[in-house]
Amino acid sequence: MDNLSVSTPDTDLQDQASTSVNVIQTLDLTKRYGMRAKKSVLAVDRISFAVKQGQVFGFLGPNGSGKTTTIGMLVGIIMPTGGSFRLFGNSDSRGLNAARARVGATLETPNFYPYMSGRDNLRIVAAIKGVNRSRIEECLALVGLSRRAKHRFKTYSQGMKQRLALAAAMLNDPELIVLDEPSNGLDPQGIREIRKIIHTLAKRGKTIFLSSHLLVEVERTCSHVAIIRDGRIIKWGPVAEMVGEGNAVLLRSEDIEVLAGAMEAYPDATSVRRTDDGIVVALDSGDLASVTRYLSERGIYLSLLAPHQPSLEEVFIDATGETTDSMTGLAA
Amino acid sequence: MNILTILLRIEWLKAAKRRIFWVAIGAFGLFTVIRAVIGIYMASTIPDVDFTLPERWPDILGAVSGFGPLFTAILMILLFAPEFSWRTARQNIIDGLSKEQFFTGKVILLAGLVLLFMAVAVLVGVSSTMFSPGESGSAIFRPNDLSYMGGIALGMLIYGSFGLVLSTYLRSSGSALGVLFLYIIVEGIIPLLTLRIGSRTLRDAMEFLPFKVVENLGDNLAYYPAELLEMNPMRPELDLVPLGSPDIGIHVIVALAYIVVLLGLSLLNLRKRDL
Ligand SMILES: Nc1ncnc2c1ncn2[C@@H]1O[C@H](COP(=O)(O)OP(=O)(O)OP(=O)(O)O)[C@@H](O)[C@H]1O
Ligand SMILES: [Mg+2]
Repeated sequence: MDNLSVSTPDTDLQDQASTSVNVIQTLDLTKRYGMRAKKSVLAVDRISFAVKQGQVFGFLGPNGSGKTTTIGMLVGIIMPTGGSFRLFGNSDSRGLNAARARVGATLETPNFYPYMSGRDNLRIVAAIKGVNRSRIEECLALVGLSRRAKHRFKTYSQGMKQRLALAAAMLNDPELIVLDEPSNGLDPQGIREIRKIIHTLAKRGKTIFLSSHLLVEVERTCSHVAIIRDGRIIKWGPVAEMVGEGNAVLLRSEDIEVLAGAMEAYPDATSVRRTDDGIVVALDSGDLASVTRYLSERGIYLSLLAPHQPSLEEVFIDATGETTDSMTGLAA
Repeated sequence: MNILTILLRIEWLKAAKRRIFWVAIGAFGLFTVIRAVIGIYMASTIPDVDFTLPERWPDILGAVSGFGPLFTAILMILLFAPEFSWRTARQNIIDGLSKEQFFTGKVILLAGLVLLFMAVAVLVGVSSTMFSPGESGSAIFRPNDLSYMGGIALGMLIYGSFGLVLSTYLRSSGSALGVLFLYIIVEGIIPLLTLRIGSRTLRDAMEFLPFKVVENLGDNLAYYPAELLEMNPMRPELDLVPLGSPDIGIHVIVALAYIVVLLGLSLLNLRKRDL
């Protein structure tokens, strides 16, 4: 790992603050649950990142990595135990309360009054956000819930609950939309619809901050990503830059095992990984001539040599050294 | 719209769709009606006893002072505590209420419940006297009827604040109700224990335990001294000590102090805990 955006948060944050508007900005934000040292959990550990206006920012991490806790602090229901953050440039409690009027957010599960209909639930949200009743019907239609809006929330399926939460978050046409695992409980069709809604919102200039443990979801929806593990951000930057990073090649030959063994001994190779098509080798330099010479000297002849664009999954594995079994998800 | 109006509207939307809300109001009305029916029945069978207003307010309101406060506490818990398990308290904040506004909404709810219960009692009282024999007085309320209603309302507010504080701390209606009943029992036992110790100041202090204050504020003899004067002369003949009545002034002050402390504790807890 190398030239890429392994962030040095302080300088990054200063840079970004001076160049364009930070919708969200955190500085060493920390949350430790529980007071007694023995039982306490350090859920979020001095994380710093910035989300600029118009970005679709993915907050990617495995279960328990601190995504919900971070969002909880941003929306004001979890007290940070250290560090600070700004929403639309505000950090004092008064300013934050005002800033939250420009935010629509869902957190973890959809939270609604079970005995009330979907529409009546939105009526309460509308009263809190001070928006017109006509907006309720618009949002219901947008998430495809109009037909079931009169039924009680507790009779909804998981996917319908999730849609209602999305409708509630969009009710006041907020500038920033924060979604915690928006595709949880949705079928492929539902996931596609959510993705479409997010794209539409992004096109209208909204800033979107979404957490997910699904690599595919983030790769397909987000322009920027922060990878979080054990409460720490291990990498953040534009998705395109991250997946375009490094000099990786896909190699194939008659005997894959021999090839892999040879490449593991190659001085310039930083990692060697077996895939269905062959092996993917990350190289320190882009000097392919040396690679072919090195192999032919050992009697290995390539049947395929191609540049390899790593997926976000590979970036994640590289950065964390972990498998992604829990995160690949069968998205649409 | 004014923020208090908005908060009231939000609480109304939440409560009006709850079945338990209407059941509680109905049960409260029914209990009051039963007391009125007894009054009407006695008036129609016993000569010299009329069921008229304002003379019979002490009976009707006396009944309300008995079950009204407990009703308020229970309903407060049932309406408020589930907001934590449904996580709607959390969502209300996410949607834009500040914690202070959310809390203010609950105080408005409490005040609303007390007013509603009082309105039901007055409605039942006024309508029941239409079915009873005897001439009603010229005015529906005398000044002491109104003071009595104020005393009862204060009692309801104490119990309701208790329900509110238990809901915020325990965040579950089951445990909040459990602790409420447990505390009522404990408060009933403490004075019995102090009887044995026999310190006079301690025994006097027992009069100012929260729910004892509510009981004293609901004692109709304190508001209608004429009845006291009427009853006391007969008591020695029956080998009974003369009845006294609590000093309402000091009880009102203590009651207000309790309400402020309970609501303050609730707000503090809500402020400092994660939702
Ligand atoms: N209220 C709480 N009290 C104590 N520990 C908590 C609490 N909430 C979360 N945690 C702990 O904090 C850590 C981060 O949890 P968090 O819910 O933020 O993770 P997450 O990234 O949202 O996970 P998931 O993908 O499962 O939703 C976990 O170890 C969790 O056990
Ligand atoms: Mg989570």
